[in-house]
Amino acid sequence: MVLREDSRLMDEVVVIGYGTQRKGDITSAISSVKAEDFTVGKIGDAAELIKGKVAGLSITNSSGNPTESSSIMLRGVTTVVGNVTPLILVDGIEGSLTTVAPENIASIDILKDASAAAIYGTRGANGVIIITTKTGRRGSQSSVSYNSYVSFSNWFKKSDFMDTQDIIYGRTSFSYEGYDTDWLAAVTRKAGFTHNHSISINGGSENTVYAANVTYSDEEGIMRKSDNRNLKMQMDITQYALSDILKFNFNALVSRQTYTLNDNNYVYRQAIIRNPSSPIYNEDGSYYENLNLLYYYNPVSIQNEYIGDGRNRFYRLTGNITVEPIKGWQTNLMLSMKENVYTGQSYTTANHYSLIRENDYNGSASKNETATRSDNLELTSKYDLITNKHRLNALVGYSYLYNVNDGFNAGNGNFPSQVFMYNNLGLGTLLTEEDRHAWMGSYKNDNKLVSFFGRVSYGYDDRYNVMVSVRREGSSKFGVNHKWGTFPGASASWNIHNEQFMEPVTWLDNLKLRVSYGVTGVIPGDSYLSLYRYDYDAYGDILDKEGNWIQTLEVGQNVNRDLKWETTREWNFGLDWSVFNDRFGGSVDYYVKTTSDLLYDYSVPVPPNLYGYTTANVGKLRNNGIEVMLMGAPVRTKEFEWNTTVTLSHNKNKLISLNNDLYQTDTFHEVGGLGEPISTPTHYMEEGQSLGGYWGLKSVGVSKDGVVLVEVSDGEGGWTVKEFNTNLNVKENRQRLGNGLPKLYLGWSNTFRYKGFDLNLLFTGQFGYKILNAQRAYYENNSVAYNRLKSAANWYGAINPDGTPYIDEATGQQKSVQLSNSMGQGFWSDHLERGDFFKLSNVTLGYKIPLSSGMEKYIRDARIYVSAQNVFCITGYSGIDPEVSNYFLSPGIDAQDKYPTTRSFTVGVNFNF
Amino acid sequence: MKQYIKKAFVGLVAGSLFTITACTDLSETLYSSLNDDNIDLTSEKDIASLMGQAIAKFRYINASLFGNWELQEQCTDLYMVPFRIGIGWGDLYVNLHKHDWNYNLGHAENIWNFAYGCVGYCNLSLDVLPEEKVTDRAQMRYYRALSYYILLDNFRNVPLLETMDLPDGYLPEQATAQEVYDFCIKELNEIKEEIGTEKYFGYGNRWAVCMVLAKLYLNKNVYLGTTDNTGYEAALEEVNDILANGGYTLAPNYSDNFRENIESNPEIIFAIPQDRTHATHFLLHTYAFPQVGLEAFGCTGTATNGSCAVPQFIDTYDPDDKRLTDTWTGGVQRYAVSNPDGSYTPQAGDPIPYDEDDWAGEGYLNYNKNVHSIDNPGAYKQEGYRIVKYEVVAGRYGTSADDLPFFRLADVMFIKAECLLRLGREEQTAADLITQVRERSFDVASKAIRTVADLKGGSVYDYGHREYRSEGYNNWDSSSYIYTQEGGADIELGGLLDDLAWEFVGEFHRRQDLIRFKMTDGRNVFNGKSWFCKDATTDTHWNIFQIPEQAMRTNLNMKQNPGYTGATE
Repeated sequence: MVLREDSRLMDEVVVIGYGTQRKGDITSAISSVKAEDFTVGKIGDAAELIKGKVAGLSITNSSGNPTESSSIMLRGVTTVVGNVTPLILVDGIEGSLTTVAPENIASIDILKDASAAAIYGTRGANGVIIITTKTGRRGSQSSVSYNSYVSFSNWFKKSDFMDTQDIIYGRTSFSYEGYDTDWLAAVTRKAGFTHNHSISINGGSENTVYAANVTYSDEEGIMRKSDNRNLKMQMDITQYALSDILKFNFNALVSRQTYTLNDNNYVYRQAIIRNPSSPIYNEDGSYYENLNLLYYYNPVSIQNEYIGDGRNRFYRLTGNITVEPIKGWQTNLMLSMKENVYTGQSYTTANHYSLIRENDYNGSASKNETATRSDNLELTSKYDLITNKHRLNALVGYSYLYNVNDGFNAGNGNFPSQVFMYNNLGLGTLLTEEDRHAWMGSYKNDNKLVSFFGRVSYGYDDRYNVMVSVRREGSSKFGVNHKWGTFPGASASWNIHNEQFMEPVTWLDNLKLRVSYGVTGVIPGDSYLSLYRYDYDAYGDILDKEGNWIQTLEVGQNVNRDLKWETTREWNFGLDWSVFNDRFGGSVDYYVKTTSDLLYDYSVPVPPNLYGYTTANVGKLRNNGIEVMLMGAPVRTKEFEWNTTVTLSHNKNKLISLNNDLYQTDTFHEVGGLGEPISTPTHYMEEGQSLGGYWGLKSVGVSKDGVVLVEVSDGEGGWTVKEFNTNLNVKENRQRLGNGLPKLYLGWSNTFRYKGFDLNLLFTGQFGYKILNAQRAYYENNSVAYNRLKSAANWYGAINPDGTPYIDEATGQQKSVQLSNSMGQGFWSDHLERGDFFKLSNVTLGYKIPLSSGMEKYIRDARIYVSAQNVFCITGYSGIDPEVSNYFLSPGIDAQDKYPTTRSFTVGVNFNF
Repeated sequence: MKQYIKKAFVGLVAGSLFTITACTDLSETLYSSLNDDNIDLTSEKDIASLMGQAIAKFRYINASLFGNWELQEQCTDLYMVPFRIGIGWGDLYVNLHKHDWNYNLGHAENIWNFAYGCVGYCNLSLDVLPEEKVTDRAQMRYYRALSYYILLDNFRNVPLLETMDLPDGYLPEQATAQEVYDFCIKELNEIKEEIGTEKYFGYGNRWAVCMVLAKLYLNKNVYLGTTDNTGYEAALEEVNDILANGGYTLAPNYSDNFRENIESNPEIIFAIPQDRTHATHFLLHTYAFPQVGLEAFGCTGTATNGSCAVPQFIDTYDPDDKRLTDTWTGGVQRYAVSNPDGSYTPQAGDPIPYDEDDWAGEGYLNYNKNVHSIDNPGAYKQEGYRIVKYEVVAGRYGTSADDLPFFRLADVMFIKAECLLRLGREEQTAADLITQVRERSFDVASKAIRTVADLKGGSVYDYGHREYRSEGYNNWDSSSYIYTQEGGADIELGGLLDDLAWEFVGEFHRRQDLIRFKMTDGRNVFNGKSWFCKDATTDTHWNIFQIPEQAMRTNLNMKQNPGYTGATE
C-alpha cells in the first residue's frame, strides 16, 4: 500500500488462492496489505490491522467488550439469511480473525471479486481474506523480535441520563430515596487495561527454515467482569531434502483463551435506567432492590452474583509434503486437523435477582462444553513455465473438508453450600427432587465439503494476462437433487504501460485494465437443512392412558430436496495506475454482482404443513458498487516523507425477487425490530428495493398534549396525522424512512516520517445513512417507570395536526410542551438520526531509537510508540458512537443497552535482535 | 533413506487417491435428531409419539399464553387485560377488549397454528394407524373433530383436511361452515361407539363425544346462520345421554373443579392434564398479579401485573354467592402462612406492604374493584379484582401446572336447561338444573334457587360504556367519566346468561355465549351491548376472527373473512 523506494511495486508478490502471483500479473480485484502497513496500537483482531485500508471492506467494531471481534463485510450484502463474513483462510485453512496473533501476521490479502474467489466455490461469495503468517527465509540470519504494549481505555462518551438533581425536581417518576449513586461507575473499573507481549523467532539454514511466535495478551475491559486473556503460540518448520525435490513443512498452532462470563449488556441497561438516588446496598449489606418495577434489578447484584468463565482451547496441526521432481512442477499434499474446545461454567448465586424470591434455591450452576473439529486434506499439483515472453501457471487440486461439532451441558441447583459453585454439580438437590429438575443435554452434527478445482493463468510479454479457473464442489448440506455445483471464473488484464506505444510516456509506471467474471456461492449455515426432520417436543409430553407421562414427536423441519447454494455471478472492471516512479497511484474497481437462488426461510402454509417454514433457494439480489483507492507520497525528501492513502467505496443493493413458482411469499417483509415493550419491526425487505431500509411511523411534531404526532393511513391511500398510541403500530401506518446501510465508506491513512520519527493517522468515515437511536426510543419518554434520558425533559413547540403552530390562548404564543407522561414508548422517524461521521480512529507516533554501534551488535532496531484509538469523531449523531452494527437485514440500530465503545491510549515498544 | 521416502510418498498418494473415491459421498448422518429414515411409523411406540403430539397440540391451543383461554375471555364483558400505567404492557390486549382488533392479533395466529397442528398430527396418525386399532383411531378422530369445532367457532371458514398424504406444494382451500359442521357431526357420530365409555384422564370417551356434539348443535344457528330449533333438539338428546348414562356427579365444591389436580373429580368429563414436571403452560398467575401479589399464595413465580375483572361484572354477583370469592380476589392482600406439612394457607398472614398507586392510603396491597380505563389512561397498579379461580399453587408453579377442565357435568346441565328454555318445554326442569348447580355455592339454600322467570328475564348486568379518563390513581374526576346506560333487560334468557357467567367465567365459554344470546332487537350481546371501554355496534364481523396473517400470506387460495382487511396488501 505504502510505497517504498527500494521495491518495484509490480514485482511484489500477492497471495491468491492456492498460490501467489506477481502484482503485475494480477487479473482480478485483489488487495494486499503487508505487515509494515498494518495499523499499530491496541489491536484486538486481524481486521483492525487493515481497517480503512482496503476499499470495499467494511470493518466495524461497535462494542467495547474485549471478547467482541470486528464484524466485516465485503462489497455489500450478498445474502438475506446466514452470514456476510468473508471466508477467512489462515495459511490456507479456514479460520477466523482471531486464529493467529496479529503480531504474527505477515500479510493480509483480500480476494474481492468473484473471479478470484471462484477457486473457493461455495464459500467464496462474500469474498476471501487470506491471512499469511510470518515464516523464516532460507539462508537468513536468525532473528528475534519482541513487541509489547500497554493500553488504557475509558468510555468514548456516556449517555446523558437524569441525575439525582433531576429526580429531586420530579423529572422522572422515581421518588427521591436519599442517595446519590453513579450506577455506571458502580459497575465499571477506573479504566480498562491491556498488556500485550509477543516474541518471534525466525531464521533458516540452507535446508531448514523455522519460525515461532508466542503472544500473550491480557485485556481488562472498562466494565467490571469483562476481560479477555489469550495465549497463542505458533511454530513453523520447513525441511528441504533430496536437492529440493522434497519439502516437508510442519506447522503447529496452539492457543488458549480465557475470559470471565458476564451479563454486562443487561448490567449496562440496568445501570443507565436505575434511580440515581437509590442506594446500592441496604443497611444490612444486602442489595437494595425494588421488585415492584418490572425488569428492574440492581446492576451491581447482577454483576456480582453471576459468576462464571469461559475458555477456548485450540490447536491446529498442519503438515505439507511437496514434491518437485522437475523444476516448476510442484505437487503438494496438505493434511490438517484443527479443533476448538470451549468450556463454559457459570454460577448464579442465591442472591441473584432470579433466585432471591425463592427461599429453597441455594444457587444454580451449569457447565457446558462444545467441540468443533475440522479435518482437511488438500492435494494440489501445479506447473509453472516461464520463458522470455510467456508465463504459464497451471493448477489442479482436490480438497476434502470434514467438520464435526458436538457438545454437552449439565446444570443443577440448590446446593448444600455456595462454596461449590459449578465445581460439584452432582450435589444440587434438583437432581433428585420430584418437581424441580436438574438439566442436561448433548448434540452432534457434521458435514462434508468435497471439491475438485483447476486453474490456468497465462501471461504474454508482461502485457496480456488471462486466468481461468473452475471449482466443482459438493456439500452434504445440499439436498439430494443438487449435491454438486460448478463455479467457474475468468479474468484478463492488459498492462497498457508495457505497450510499445506507451514507451514515450516515461512518467507512467503502471496502467492496467482488468476485467473479470466469476461464479461463487454461499453455503447454507447448518447441516441437515434439506431433510424432513422430527424432534421430540421438549414441552410436548402427554399423559398416556396408564397415567404415565410420555414424550411426543413433532415435525422439526420440512423437507427440501432441492436445497442448494446461493449463486453469485460477478463482473468486475478495474483500472490500476501509478506515476512518477510509483509516487502516486491508485485503482478503481466497478462491480456488479447478482446473487440468485437466495436462501430464505420461506413461510409455508399451515395447514397442510406441520412446520411453518421451509429453507429454500428462491430470491435474487443485486449489488453494484465502485471502489477507489488513491495513494501517493506528496512529500518525499531524505528527511521527511508523507505517504497517504485514501480508500472510498460505495455499494448499492437491490432485492430483485423473493419468489418462485413453488415458494410464493409476500413481496414485502417487515424485519428487524426493537424489543419489548416497543415490539415493532424497524426495517423492511421488499422486492425492487434495497436492503436495510427503515420502516416505521413518521413523526411530524408534538401535539398540544405533549404527544408525538405521527402520520397514519387514512384508509384511502392518503395520510392523516394522529397522536401516537401503541394501537397505531400496524403495518398500514408505517412508511419508508431512509436506510441504515452507509452509502459511502472512507478510509484515509497517513504516514509521516521525519528522521527517526513516524506518525500514522488513520481516519475513517461512513456517510449517507441513518442510525436508529434506540436509547431515545426507549428512554426519551416520560411514561417510562425507569430513569430517562435528560432529553425527555426537552420542551417542544406544540403544533396542530395540520402542522401549524398551536397557539396558547392565554399567551397568544405557540404553546411549549414536554412529552406527555401518558404517551407509550414507540419507534418513530424522530429517533432516526443522520449517522455520517468522520473519525480519527488511530493515531500513532513512533520513534526509532538511535543505537550506538556497540548496541547495534545486539539490537538491530528499537522502536517506541504511543498510540490512541477512537480519538475524536465529527458527527451530528447524538448517541454514543455512530459506528454501529451493520447487521445486514436491520443495519443501523444503536441498541439501547450495548456495551459502548471505548477510547484507548497505548504505549508500546518493538525490539529486533 | 531415499527408497524409504519414495515408498512412503507412493503410499501417501495412493492412500489419498483411495480417499478421493471414498469421500465423494455426500450423504448426511443424523446423530441427535430424527428423520423419516430413523423413525418407524409402523411401530406402536413411534405412532404413539405422533398421536401424543396431537394431544400436546390440543393442550397448546388452550393452555398457552396468547392462546384460546385468553381469546375466549379477553374480548368479553367479564375479563380484560388493561394497559397498566407505569408498567408498560397490556397494550397488545386492548384492541381485543375494545373489539377493534386487526389482522395482526397474535392470539388468532396461535390458535390457528396449534389447531391445525392437532388436526395434522391426527391425520398423520390416522394415515398410518391400522384399521384394527379401533379405539386409537377413534381417539384421533375425536381430537380432530374437537379441533375443527374450535376452528369453526373462531374462524368459521376454514380448510378441511382429512389426510397428510398430499402432493408437494398443496394449497388447501376453505370449506364452508356447513361442510366443516357436517364433517364434525358425521365423525363424532361414527366414533361414538368405538371410542368407549372408559374414563381415562385427558382422553375423550363417549360422553366427551356427546359434549362436542352438544356444543356444535347448541351453536348450530350461529355457525350456519339458521334460525330453527333442530340444533337444540339434537343437543338435548346428547346431554340427556350423558346425564342418564355417564355416571358423573357434581363435585361438592365449585373450586374442586379448578384445583391443581382434578383427575379424580367426579364432575370432569374431559380435561387437559398438566403436570409440574411435564406440562406447565397455563401461566395465568404471571399476568394476573403484581409480583408481591403472588406472596398471598406462597408463590415464588414471576408476575407482571396485568389482567383483572371487568368492574361491572363483579357488581352482578350476589354477595352470598361463594363463587365471587372462589373466582376473584379483591381488597387487602395478606401473606400466605406456611404450614408444618410444607403447604401454604393463602391470605392467612399479615397484610402485604405495597405503596405504589396506593389508593386506599394504608400502605398495603389492596385490589380496587374500580378501574380507570382500558387504555386512556389505562389501569393503575392496584386496580381491578384478580382471578383466583384456578388454584395458585405455592412455590414456583402458580397456575402453570393446573389441569384445565374442558367439559364438566355442570356444563351438561346448563346445556340441557338452555335447550329446554329455548324449546319452551319442561321449563321448571331447566330452572331446577341451574338451581342444582348453584346449590353448592350458597350457604342458604333459598339463595341458590333460580326460577323460570329469573332465567327467562333480563340480565342483571348493568351494560353500558364505563370509563374514567382522568389521570392519577386517586383522581376519579366525574367530568372525565364516560357513561352510557343500557342495562340488560332486553337480553333474551338474560338470567341464564348471567348464570353462565357466574358458573363458567374463565372456562372457554363467554365469547361463544355472548354470540349465541340475543337481544330483543335481534343483535347478539357480543355486538349489541357496551361495557367497560367497549361500545355497542351493529357490525357483526367481530363474531368470528380474521384468518390469521400468516395463513393468508402463505396460501393464495385463502379468502379473508368478511370485514377484515390488511393481511395481504
